[in-house]
Amino acid sequence: MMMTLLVAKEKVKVFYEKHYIVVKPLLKFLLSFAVFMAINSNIGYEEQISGVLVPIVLAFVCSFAPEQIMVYFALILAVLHIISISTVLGIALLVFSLAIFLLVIRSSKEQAFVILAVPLLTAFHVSYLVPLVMGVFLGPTIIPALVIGVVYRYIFIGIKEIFTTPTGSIDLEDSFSIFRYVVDYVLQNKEILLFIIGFILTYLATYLVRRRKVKYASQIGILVGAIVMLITFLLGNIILGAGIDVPLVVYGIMISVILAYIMQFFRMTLDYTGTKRLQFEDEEYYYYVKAVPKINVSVKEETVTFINPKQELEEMSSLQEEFEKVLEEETYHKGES
Amino acid sequence: MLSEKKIRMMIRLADYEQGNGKTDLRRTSYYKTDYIKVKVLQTILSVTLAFFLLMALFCTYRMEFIVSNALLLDYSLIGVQFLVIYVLTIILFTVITIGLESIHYDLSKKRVRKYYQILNVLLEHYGEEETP
Repeated sequence: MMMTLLVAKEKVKVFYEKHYIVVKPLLKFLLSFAVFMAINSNIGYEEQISGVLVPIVLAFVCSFAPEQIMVYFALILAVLHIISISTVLGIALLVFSLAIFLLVIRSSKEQAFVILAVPLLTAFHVSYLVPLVMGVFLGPTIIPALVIGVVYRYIFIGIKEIFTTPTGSIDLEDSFSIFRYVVDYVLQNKEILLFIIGFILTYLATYLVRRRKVKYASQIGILVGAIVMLITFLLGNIILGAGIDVPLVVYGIMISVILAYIMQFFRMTLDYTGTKRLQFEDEEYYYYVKAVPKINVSVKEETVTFINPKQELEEMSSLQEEFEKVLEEETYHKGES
Repeated sequence: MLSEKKIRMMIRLADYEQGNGKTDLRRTSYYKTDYIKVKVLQTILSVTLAFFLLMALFCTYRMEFIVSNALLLDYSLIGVQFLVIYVLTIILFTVITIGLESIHYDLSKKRVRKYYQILNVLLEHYGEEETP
């Protein structure tokens, strides 16, 4: 079973490498389109942009632009929808996002993706995936993004709550009234504290375990993180009286664990530039180099599969390791001469 | 005459220059103290602007209270409170910036040092080829 999965993984990698120029923009288009459609289906209050056309156009632009553009487009789309129900709230969200950019995102661009991921995955009840995956892939500087992501999560839940509150409790014609309702919803909600604590503890548990030098550290880290998350939410629900939907949370954590294992297994990112093209010159020649990484798993036609377990577990050597190897070789040869 | 060893070194150097090297070489072109001073200055400006934006949001949220008690509020006390929060925020972000950017600078310096070491080895290769 494991061999079949590894062979499938390598085939996917080879396919991605070979057709990288087409596959990467296509994947970016599909991801961006899914993000914009999720925004439209959850807070699509402005009818003129809540159709399919705007997400298609924006996704097409995102497929050829840097990845951060998707986050900014998502924010602008959300703000435009919110301005249609409350101008003050829409502008406040924009100002708040600008402040977050200046404080957090300015120094580390990947934080923007984490901040976007939490409210987005909430629509599918799998926002618990974010701290698990971040614990496997990123360092502790991502914690502020997790916290801000939870805040955005509750801002958007608060906005949706506007239309489910009893008639008369909020004046839908008053822009300020809607703005104050959403801010009160975020500040007075006990669930938000529970989610912040739960996400931070889950991230730390996953991160600390996956850094251990043991076999399957990442996989164990995800499991430990999930258990910590479950215990935190169950205990926190009792202590804080947050009133969360426990079966829904358990279901969400289980699905998130499965998705986290799939993501960890493939470990592929949109920036996977397997084949590198370099150009340089010296006094005699111009060099046009195409560097193609070797495949880890070989598949024979007789259905016999040889897998090097060390190569399977170790990550491909980084440039730094290559530097050190070349340096050591040269130092050794110099010593000999 | 093509030397495989030389070409391998040039490939690694070119790959580094087109990747991490862009950031590392720009970063290490400053002295460490100067680089951190620039980053701290950027942080102070960003945090100040963000603070004023968040303060504006807070005032909007409490607009009703402010307008109805405009003549009764102790503005000097409120000003001192905001100033204290601002100073504490600046100190916090400055400390974080100094810590993080010191680590980034040291890692860049390490990579650049190795880059120049390999560059020197490459230059020695050229020197050996030129001498008869």
